[in-house]
Amino acid sequence: MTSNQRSKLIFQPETYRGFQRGINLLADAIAPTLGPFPGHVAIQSANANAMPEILDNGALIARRLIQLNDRSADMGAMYLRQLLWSIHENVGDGTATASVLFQTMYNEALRFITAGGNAMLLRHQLESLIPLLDKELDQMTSQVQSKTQLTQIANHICNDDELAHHLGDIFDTIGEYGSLEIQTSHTLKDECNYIQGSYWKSKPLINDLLPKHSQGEQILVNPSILVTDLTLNQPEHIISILQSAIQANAGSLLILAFEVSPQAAVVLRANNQSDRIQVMVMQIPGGTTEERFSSMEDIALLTGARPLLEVVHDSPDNITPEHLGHARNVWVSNHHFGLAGGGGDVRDLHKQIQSLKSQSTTIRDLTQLQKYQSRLGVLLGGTAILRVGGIHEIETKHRKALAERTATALRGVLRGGIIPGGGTASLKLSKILRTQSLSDDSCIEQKAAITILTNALESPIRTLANNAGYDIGDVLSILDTSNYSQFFDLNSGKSSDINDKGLFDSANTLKHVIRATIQSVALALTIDVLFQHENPTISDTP
Amino acid sequence: MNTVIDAPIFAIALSPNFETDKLAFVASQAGLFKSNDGGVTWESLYKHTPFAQDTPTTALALSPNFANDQTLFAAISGAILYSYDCGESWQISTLGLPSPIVSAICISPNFVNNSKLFVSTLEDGVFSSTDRGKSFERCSFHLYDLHVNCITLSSNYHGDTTLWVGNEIGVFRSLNDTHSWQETAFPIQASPVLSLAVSEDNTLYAGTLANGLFESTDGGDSWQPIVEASLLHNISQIIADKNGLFLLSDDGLYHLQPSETQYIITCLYKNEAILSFALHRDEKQTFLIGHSNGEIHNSLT
Repeated sequence: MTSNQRSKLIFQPETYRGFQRGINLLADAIAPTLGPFPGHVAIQSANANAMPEILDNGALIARRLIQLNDRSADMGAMYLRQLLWSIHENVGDGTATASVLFQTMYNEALRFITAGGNAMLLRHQLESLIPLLDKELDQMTSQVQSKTQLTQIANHICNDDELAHHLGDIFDTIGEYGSLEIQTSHTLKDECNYIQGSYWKSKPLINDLLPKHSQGEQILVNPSILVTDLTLNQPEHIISILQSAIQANAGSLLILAFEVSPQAAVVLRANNQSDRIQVMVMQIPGGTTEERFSSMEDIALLTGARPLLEVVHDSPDNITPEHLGHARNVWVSNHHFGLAGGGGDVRDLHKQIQSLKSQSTTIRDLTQLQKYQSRLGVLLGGTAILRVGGIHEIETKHRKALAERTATALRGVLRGGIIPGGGTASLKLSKILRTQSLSDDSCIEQKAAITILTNALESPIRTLANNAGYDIGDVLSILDTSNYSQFFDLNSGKSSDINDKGLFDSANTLKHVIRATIQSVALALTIDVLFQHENPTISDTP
Repeated sequence: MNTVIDAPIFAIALSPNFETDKLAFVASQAGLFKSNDGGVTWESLYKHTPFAQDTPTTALALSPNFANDQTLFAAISGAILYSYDCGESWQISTLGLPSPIVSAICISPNFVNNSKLFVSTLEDGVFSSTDRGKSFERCSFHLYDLHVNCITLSSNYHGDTTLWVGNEIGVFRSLNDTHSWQETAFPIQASPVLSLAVSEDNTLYAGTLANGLFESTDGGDSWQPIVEASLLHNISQIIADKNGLFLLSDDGLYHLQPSETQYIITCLYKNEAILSFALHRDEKQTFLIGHSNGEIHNSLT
């Protein structure tokens, strides 16, 4: 903070009012995006002449909000923005639902507090209802039964038939732990490929070892494999490596190293011309030291190689045939390499896979989770690649982001199961709360918490109906509240069976949304003072 | 002319009409052979092919519709041979390099319509063909243990497209017609799995090297040991039929009959040299049993 930075303190009741203004502004902007007939929000570009960005995702819309003129409202909006972005990063979906829940809860809670209720006690009571809601959601949860169901769920999330079809097929193939890469394509259509075996992005360290006629890909049959993070800078190093490979009866050799000096490269080029033993040299995959170590660990596990490591002062002079791993097939190109049929111990591989699966279920950070999933995909021996097309670059980028979000949600579906969708599950929770019996000595905050949550959990279906142009009364009159197997189909305006239509939501997503929103509202209610800087740094990143 | 098979017998297959046509086929270290007299005399099926007559042949299977289509498949190193005329002529489909050793060939029960068959290998996982064996493609997505000893189809394969393979770390299954594989809950400490079979009620049986026999009634989600290793080990082949299970272990051929509380084990044929057997499901329950020294016995039970 600079010495001429001034600050302003805001106290009650302006604290609540300001916060509420901001929350309502942002929530009102996002609410129209909920449901099968989403409204869109146009975001003006930084370049006034450019086309506005058209969004229907709650978290992205919130993220575009930089600053409101009303400083107190701005703090409220930023608070909600942070929640939505966190939900987006954790589960990929449910941000519009979270926004609607938050708004209703906060407004109803404020009414209670303004009438004399105790905010701290109310916070405690709201949070104490979370385990009950979790338990009820668990009872509503079932497992995905088919690829058709996965495709239907994908379609409900992304509202794009072609993407949903591909993603349903992909997750039916790769399951909850498999690796998926989503790339943009220069074509109109989406494409999907499945790579069998383990596959890494990398580049050749010596370009002209790849034959020109190979159309960019070279296959090595039964190669030996050397893994090292050393820089191979002496020709003697290469000779030592080649001698070890020949001793191991290798007909071909893949060297994975950090760097190869021009002097060392000369020896390799000369070797390949002699046809004695064919050699390819690729860079160790990974942009950071940690990533390179993970790659080396995985490749060593798959192939049975013993890596030469700088950290333990290994040297290529000490290489023996025991350092070399093996695979049935290796393929290399200008952008990647892969292997199948590694010679490593499959029981060690099994142990590592189980360990990574177990660790991945506890990771919350999405970037970290993606790294674990990528490693799992490598070790499981398969990667799906989805190339997303579009008419122009903006559409392609938007569809790629949509595919990524849907993929995150589908993974959550496979992991955590499904619940009735279309607001039905939260409506059912509302009914359960409404029938909660309270003892005579229950405090008013407890009763208030139940009332607040009961009303809030009805708000998603109200908003859905409103967005589709229906009255909530019409919707509720058709909904079978005895077993919730029927729902009001907003497309047809009639009753439909949830199973027939495949109208399901991710159980994990709704659980996370409800939990995070209740906790966030509960905390917000206890904010009594706002501390505002005169000239805060503006950032578009939550 | 009778040819003596002086080498280990890896696989035996009987014509569906064995009772009447007496046709039997044998895959051995010394080649592929056919008998027209129920296994008394044998002739080499490679005598009119470019292959050496003693080309080791590791697996063999007849089409479910063999009586009409006369189609059979045999495996040599790195390739599948197919014949549409009861072995008179052969064609070859390669499985790529380096050449894998085929452990088993498994044909879809609906082969006459979908032309599908599957091949398991000891080094490269699973291959499938959808054109009656003319070409094969790898289908080992997420099959991270490619050392596959055996493969079997669900009894309701046409409806559920489910297959299982047994390998070094246990049992994997595919629920989507080999598009991808997932590990089942087979206990790794009991692996490797050498043999698999599925009964009519879709109970899955897995025979292990050193840990006896296991069964699963839920597709592999859970497993129960049903025969201890002390009774049966190195269970290399299982055939399931309505009369129970027929098992080949390292000291002979056994029959398992389920009773109310347990399985009743009966030794049918004690001999440590048995490598393979085939069962003709006629009234007499005819077996052909192949030995490591090339002898083939026709046993009646």
